[in-house]
Amino acid sequence: MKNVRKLHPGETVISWLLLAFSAFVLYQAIAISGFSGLSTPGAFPVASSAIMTGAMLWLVVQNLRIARRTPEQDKQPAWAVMHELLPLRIVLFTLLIVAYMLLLQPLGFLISTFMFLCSGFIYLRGSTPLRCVVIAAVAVVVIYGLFNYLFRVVLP
Amino acid sequence: MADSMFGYFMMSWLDPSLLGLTALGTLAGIYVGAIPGLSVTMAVSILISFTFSWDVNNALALMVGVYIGGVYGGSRSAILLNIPGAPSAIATAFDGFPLAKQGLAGQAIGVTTVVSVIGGFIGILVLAIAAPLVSDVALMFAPRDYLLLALMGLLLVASLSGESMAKGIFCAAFGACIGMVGMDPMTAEGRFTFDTVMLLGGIPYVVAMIGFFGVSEALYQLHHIGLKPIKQDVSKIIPSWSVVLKYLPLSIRTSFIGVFIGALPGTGGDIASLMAYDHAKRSVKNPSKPFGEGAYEGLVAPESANNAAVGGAYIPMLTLGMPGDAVTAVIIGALYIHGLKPGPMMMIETPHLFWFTVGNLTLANIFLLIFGLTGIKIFAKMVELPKGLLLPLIIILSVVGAYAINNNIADIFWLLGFGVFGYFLKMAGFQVGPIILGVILGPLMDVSYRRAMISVGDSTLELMHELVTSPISLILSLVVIWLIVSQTALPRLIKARFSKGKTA
Amino acid sequence: MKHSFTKALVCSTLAGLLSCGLQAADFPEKNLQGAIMWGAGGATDNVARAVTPLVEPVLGEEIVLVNKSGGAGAISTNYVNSRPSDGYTLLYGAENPQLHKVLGLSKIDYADFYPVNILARGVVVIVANNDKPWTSMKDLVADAQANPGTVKMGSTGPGGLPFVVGAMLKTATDFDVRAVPFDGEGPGITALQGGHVDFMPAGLTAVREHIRAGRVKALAVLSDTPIPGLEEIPLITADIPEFKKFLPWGPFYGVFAKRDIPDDAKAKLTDAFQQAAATEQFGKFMQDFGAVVTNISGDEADAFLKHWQSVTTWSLEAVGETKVSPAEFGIAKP
Repeated sequence: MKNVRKLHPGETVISWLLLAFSAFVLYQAIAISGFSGLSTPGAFPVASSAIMTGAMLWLVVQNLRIARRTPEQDKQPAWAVMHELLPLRIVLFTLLIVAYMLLLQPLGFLISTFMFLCSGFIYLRGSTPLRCVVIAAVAVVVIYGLFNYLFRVVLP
Repeated sequence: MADSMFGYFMMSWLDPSLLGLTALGTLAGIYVGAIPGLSVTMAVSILISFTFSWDVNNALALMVGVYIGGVYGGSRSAILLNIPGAPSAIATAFDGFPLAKQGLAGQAIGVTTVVSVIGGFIGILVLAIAAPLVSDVALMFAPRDYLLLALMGLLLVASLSGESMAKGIFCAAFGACIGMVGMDPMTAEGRFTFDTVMLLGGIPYVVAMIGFFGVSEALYQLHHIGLKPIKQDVSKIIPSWSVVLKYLPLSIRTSFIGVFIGALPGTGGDIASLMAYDHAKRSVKNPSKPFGEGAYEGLVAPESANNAAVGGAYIPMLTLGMPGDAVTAVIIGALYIHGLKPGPMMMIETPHLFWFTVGNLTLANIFLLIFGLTGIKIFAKMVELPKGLLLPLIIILSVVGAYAINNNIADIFWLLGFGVFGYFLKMAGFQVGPIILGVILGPLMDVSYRRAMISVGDSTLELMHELVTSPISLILSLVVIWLIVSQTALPRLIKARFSKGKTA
Repeated sequence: MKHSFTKALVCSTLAGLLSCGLQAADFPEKNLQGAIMWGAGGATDNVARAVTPLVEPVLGEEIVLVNKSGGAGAISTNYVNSRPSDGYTLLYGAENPQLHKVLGLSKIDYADFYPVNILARGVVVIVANNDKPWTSMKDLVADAQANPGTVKMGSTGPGGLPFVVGAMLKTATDFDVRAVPFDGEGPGITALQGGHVDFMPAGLTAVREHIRAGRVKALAVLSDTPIPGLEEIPLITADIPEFKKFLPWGPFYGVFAKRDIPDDAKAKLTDAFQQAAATEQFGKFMQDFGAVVTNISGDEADAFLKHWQSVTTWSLEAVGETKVSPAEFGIAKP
């Protein structure tokens, strides 16, 4: 464990961002009830966000040390890191999920889910387009039937 | 007396309709449990209205079946998809999913089924012979003792952290903060709510669980979309006697953890399974594979414990009319609606109920063994679906599951947020396990810590005093200290010293 | 030919519209949804699930029940309030929203809802741990006054029943206790039996069986007239006459719909729930449950809600437990 590990692509940036995030959470936690007592609602959030911040500080320092020892030629350029961390496929698929979630209520469960499954299957080349559509239709009907009639979950 | 006891015990075995309903319930329960977001609690509440006009025994038989099947069912999706179907199956995913990745999903499910049934039987056994005793001990647990229990569970972070302890600690603390969001249950004050009503209800931890496990894993898998799905070996699914015997001691030990944690009114199968996993990691020196990479021991422990916790949860319910967990709380409601009076007098006034339930639980466990070991092949083959089909389906299941918990559309955005966040954490070498540990144990620690503090009027000195004077607290404190010490470098130092002394 | 086709189209559309209009008069024409403001297994949940199967045959449609707990009921009130005013979404709730305004939890209370039926009223009992030396409320009050801030009261958090009763006791007797909040009455009573708290005001629902089994002792019942079946428990007014001004007081469980739903929906719902609450089966359930069937709706229920809110919020205000004064919301003094 000790310093034998290598940095993951983008780890440096991510750990700095997480440090900032922890500090923000700590700030919010202190805002709950300050340091007014040992059994206030804010006591535990302050403690856990302080631990978050502390652990992240520790990690950032560790990472700085590892980075210093990493030979220059082993370091990846920013675009390569970006490519490994966020390939186009993941960005597009995530956007597809976002679109689905936004359309879920206006279009209703049946239509939006069918559309999502079709486009998802076809985009990820799960099968031939025709079979994708059929599988999507079957899946939507099965899930809808199961949840709506058997489990009484009123889907949007 | 003994005669009538046995008669009540056998009631559900001999009556065809009770037998059928128990079987049906168990089968349905497995599926309810396997679908993330559909909880046993929810299923049993639906059954209350559904069985309103039924005979009470029929209604209870169906509920018992669903309960037993549901607790087990959570392991299915944890092993196959890395989405724990229920919070009590989180620890199952740690080693179950790696096994599925190695093409051993069938074997994993087989072992899980057998140890679940063993755990179930031990739970029932304790319920049958020691219920009043256990419930009396459970009542003695003070808020400070729950705090110590949660601390014990939290020490699992050390072994779930992966490559860096700092990352594990960060994740656990972050999880605790997620658990804090919403209205503080003790003062009704908003925490991390940014003054919105939407956040007042908090973030259901099942949403965090599905997001961090299911969605982030699905996004992560997109890197390997081109890879062929792993062929699942489904030849030897039912574990041999020698395998069962090998894991039996661990299964029995963790079942006792499960039954006791289950019997405590403030904790249930989720915490039981985490503590059992921790116990396995400490006590098993040579696991079949390293923990976290597909150790069967990592399946045996949590699955024995969470099924044993069912018997445990019935202990305070049947002896005192107090729920051991959320499901038994709903069953108590059902008893009211059917004109029974759940409470401490139940054992005296309606003694048949106790032995009927014990017999019924036993029966459901036998059905669990049968249903659990059949149809594994089809389940295992699910993992062989091309990723292009599997991943969008996982997303849909996750979304529906997250929505189903509270019928709240905002929850699905949390789901995606956690999924994306979890994806980046994974890419940077963080483990998501400790986050869920924090989400589950954080709120328990928060409320029990404050309850303990309020009880002593915020005086740390008095709390310390209580920790050493109450026998339960003293034992728990010593265990916590021992766990911490044995985890740090201290024992190694002593050992080094010792061996040096010898050679010198 | 073409002309007649258009005509036919127009006619059929009109007929369709007309029949739609007619159908609207036949409330309900689809399943209803019922949001329960507390989690599965709680008292509100039990009452909701007991009454609903009796209502469904009268309505001729199903009511799909969903637990939407959180924010002491604020999540559910906000949810139902945000639904269309068509009468298809019902709120199953307890007394809590009547305190949301003064506790600063939410801007919505039952003034925004039409009380379809206040189904039942709970009876409150003050119970104590068996190992305590007290035999009456007098002993408890004396002990609490002699040792301020050390007697531990089981509570369920602000706005909860023990919290309100504690505030009333404080106004009536001027004593100071340490309130330890639990997740609900059940967990509180569990802690009481384990000796982790000393006494707790709780709904009869949660404690009746424990009193009967002798696992806790009942010090007083919150009433100034004897309650059938509970004659052996002393009345609170016997030991603390000052408490009379708060009575009758207790938790209640009801069904609500948005204030502005169509009148025919209001009438249909009111009628259906009144029939259900009047059944023998529901009465028996409530008796076992430890509550009294009230079965009131409309104006009568509104008056009940107003009175409850006024008594409770002003007694909280008197001991400084409110965030916003009830006067700000035009809540009259009792």
